[in-house]
Amino acid sequence: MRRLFLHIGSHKTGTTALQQGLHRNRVLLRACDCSYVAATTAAHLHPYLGGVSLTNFLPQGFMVVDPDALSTRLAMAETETVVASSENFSFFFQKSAIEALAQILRPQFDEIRVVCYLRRQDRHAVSHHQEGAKPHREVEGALWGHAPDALPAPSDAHDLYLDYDRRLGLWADVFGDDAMIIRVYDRKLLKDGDIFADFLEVAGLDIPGLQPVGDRNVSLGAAQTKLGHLMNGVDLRPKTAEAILARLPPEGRLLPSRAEAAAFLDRYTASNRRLNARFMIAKNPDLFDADISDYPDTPDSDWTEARANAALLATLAQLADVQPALAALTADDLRTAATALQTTAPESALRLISAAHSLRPTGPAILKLKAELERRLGAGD
Amino acid sequence: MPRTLFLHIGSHKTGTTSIQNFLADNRPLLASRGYGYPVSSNNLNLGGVLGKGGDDDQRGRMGRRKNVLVDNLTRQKADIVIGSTEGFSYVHDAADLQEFADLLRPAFSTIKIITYLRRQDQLAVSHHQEGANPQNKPATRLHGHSPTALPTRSELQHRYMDYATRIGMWADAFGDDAMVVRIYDRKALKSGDSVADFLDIVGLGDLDVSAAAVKNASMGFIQSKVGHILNEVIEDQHVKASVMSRLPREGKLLPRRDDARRFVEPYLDGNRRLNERFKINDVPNLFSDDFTLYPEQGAEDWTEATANATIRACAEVIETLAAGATSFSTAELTAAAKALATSNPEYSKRFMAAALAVRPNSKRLQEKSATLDGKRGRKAAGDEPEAAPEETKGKRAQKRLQRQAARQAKG
Repeated sequence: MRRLFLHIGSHKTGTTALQQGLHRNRVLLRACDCSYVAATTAAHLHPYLGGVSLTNFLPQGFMVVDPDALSTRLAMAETETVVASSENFSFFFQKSAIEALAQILRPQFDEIRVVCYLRRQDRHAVSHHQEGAKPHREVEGALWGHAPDALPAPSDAHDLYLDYDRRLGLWADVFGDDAMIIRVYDRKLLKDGDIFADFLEVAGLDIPGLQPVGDRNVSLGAAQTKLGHLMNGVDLRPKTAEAILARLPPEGRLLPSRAEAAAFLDRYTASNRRLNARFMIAKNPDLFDADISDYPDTPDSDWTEARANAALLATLAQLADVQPALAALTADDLRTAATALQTTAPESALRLISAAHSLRPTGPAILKLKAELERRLGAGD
Repeated sequence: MPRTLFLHIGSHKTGTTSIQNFLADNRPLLASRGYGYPVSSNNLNLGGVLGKGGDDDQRGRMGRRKNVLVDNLTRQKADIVIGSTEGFSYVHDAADLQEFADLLRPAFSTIKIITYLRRQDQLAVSHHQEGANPQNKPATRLHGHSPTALPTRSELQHRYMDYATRIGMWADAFGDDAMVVRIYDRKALKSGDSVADFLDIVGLGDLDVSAAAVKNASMGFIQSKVGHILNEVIEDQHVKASVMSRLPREGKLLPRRDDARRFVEPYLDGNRRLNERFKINDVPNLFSDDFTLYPEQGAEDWTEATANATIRACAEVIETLAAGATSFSTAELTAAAKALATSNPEYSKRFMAAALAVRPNSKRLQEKSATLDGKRGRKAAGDEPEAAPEETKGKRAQKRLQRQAARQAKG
């Protein structure tokens, strides 16, 4: 009998540590007839999943984008127990996408268990929104926005993710309520306070010698988070944003006030109760604890003078590192070259003069040549 | 015939640019009235002769430059000479000033030293803001780069702000009677205007100043704060100017009222002594005690909105500059280098360096670079024709290069 433990997230519940732990211990796992299946170049299944586009995937959400590759990869595992993981399954917002996944999985497995860890919505939103401040986080940006605040700006799109009753209900409707293993992500409730140990227990994998890995996802500091959101909001290229963030210390944490967090959670209280009533996850009918003491009385999410100055210093200092040799080309260099090339290579000349214009927006000679080249090229000269 | 010199020594931020602009723009008119107004290469004042940078400024000395200054002032044929640069306000060396006075006296029977003074907090706020300008290095030497309304205190700044000592040195060198010390306060100036007031002092009070424009418009809140930070981390003036030109001008960076009051405190005694010595006005403290121009709570810290808007704007500028800098292919960069190889070898070199920066290990690029080096070398040695039409495509390009070559040959 072949069985699959499919770990679907959620995000910000120690998934990276879990995936790294399973991937690094895959030889030991295989010795006990368990395979950890991941994409060829990764420790998870992310490469097989995606949306219409990374920035425009709402409200459809994600789906399996390469079913053949996923199917082949899973079929290669010859063990009785198979474990696979991607928190991006948590972006599956449509039942049809889950049904399509089920069609890939069912022919290969006699038993499928869907494992999901859930975090209280306010905590999840703070943490996942913060993730969107990092470079290369287009999906998080699209879902939570780029408001430089601790909690994302209110949006109905958030319900697609945070209405756990609806979202996990879709998985249960496809795979069956009994297939669902839903756990509350709270270190006090996890086995040994650790998701790796907890997951192994859930999956019944009592294998001696497995080595956990520590926390993998380093959080951003308060100034980094705000700056990251602002930079992603104007589409600053990720490499540059990364270099700027590295100039700031990961100090402090962007936190909402207690009242803001409570108001945010309030929207999902009924949904949490319904989910708990359906799957009997926790004794607490609300599913999650009601403790908001880890938030300050007043929000700690605005710029302070020191934070704003440090963020600006880091941002502007990056100007000096923008491709030194290329940046060393002055507006005069570019204008002179554009002038020299205006007849023989007008397209290049226009690009050169446009770059000169970005360096010196009001230079009259630059404006004149730019206008002239635009006119000529526009007129097909 | 006895000659008179009016030496206008500043201070900064007291309408000096407006005064100098008026004098420079009206030199023929001044000449017809017997006045000479020498200017240096900037065509506005004597700042270019006195200089703006260097160690002598740090020491507050004119050094050897005072001989050139004296030459500029004394060779004027007019009976009355007006010399002006606020750079004189950086001078705080008594011996240097004495030498300067000794050099000038033989040429002029009357010398008047004119200075406008502003209450120290007001001057500091305004002059420090000036230091946020991408090109104003002297101001930053005094006031630093702090993105605040009032600058951090420094020794050099104190030497400037201690009017009793600084102006006292000029008086010691030229005599108390030579000093014309005016308070820069629109209420105290003739017609509320620094140009009218200055002209009145030099005997040209009848001239119409209505066309004189107010120069040196101040920067906005965001520009001031970002300018200081920019000056701290970026050298390239073009890059700095590019950032600054994209920032909004609104608002004003103002200190808290109590901070302004505290800033002046160390100078109160000196201001009183200066007034006693030169009988400048009836106000015992020399300057008004009114600080209501500043808000109680100040207006110098980032708010959530201003910080967000500023960081977004700066990120956009970086994106624009990064996109501009990295959007060229090595082919385009080498084409530019080739096109400029004979007409503009230095520019050509920089484009080739940029191409090599994109692909440092490309042998093809290294070979091209060597070829262009050779071409530039032959050009420098005179073995290469000025332009090489065969390298270009199209008759128009050839004609253009031939025209360029002809112009260069003419000299």
